[in-house]
Amino acid sequence: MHLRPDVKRELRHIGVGCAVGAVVLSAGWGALAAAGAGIPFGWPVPLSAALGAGAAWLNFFGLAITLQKAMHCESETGRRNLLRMSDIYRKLALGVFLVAMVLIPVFNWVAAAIPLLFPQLTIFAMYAFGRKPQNSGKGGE
Amino acid sequence: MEFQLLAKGIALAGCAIGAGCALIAGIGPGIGEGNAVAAACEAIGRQPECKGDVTSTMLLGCAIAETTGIYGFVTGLLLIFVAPGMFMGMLG
Repeated sequence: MHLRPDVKRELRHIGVGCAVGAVVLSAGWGALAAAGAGIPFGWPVPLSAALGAGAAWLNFFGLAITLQKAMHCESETGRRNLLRMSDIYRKLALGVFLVAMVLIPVFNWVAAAIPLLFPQLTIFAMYAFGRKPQNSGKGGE
Repeated sequence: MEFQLLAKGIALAGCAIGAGCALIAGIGPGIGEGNAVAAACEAIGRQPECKGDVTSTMLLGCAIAETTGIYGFVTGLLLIFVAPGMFMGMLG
C-alpha cells in the first residue's frame, strides 16, 4: 500500500522520537545505576528499550496504515469494523510483546514497557515546540 | 497458616479484579478513534484541499487517544503477570 507523504512525515517524526527516547532512557538508567540508585544496569536494558521503541513505532505504523485505509472506506460500518479489528490486533501484538518481555528473563520488562509511550511523548513534544499545520489558513466555509 | 492462605487468596483476587478494571480503559480509545475518523472524513469531504492537514492531525490525535488504552493495558498485564509474584513474595 502506498503511504501518503503526510503519513510518511509523521512516521519519520515518531521514529526519530522513539529512537531518541530509547537512547535517553538507556542513558538515564545507566546514570541512575552509576549514581548508586540500586537499579541494575546491563545490556538487557538498552536492548529492551530498543525493542520497546520498535514495538511502539510498529504500533503507530499499524495505526497510520489503518487510518489511511479507513479514510478510503465508503461505508461508516466498514470504517468502524476496520478500526476495531486493527485495535484488537495491535493490542494483542503489544500484549504478546509485553508478556514475552516479562516472562523471558533475558529482557528487562520495565525498560521495554516505558518506550510504548514514546510516540505520545513525541507528539506532546512536537506540539510543545510549536508545531503548526502545514496549510493552516487555507479554505473556509 | 490459614490466615496466610486467605491473605494470598485475597491478594490474587484483587489482582484479577484490578486487571479486569484496568482493561476497561481499552474501550474508550476504540470509540474515540471511530468518531475521529468519521469527523475527519466529513471535514475532507467539505474541504478536500485540507486533506494533508486533516490526515496528519487525525493520525496524531488518534495516537494520543490511544495513550489511556496503552496505560490500562500495561497496568492490566502487570497486575496479571508481575503483581501476584510480588504479593506472594511479601506474604511468604
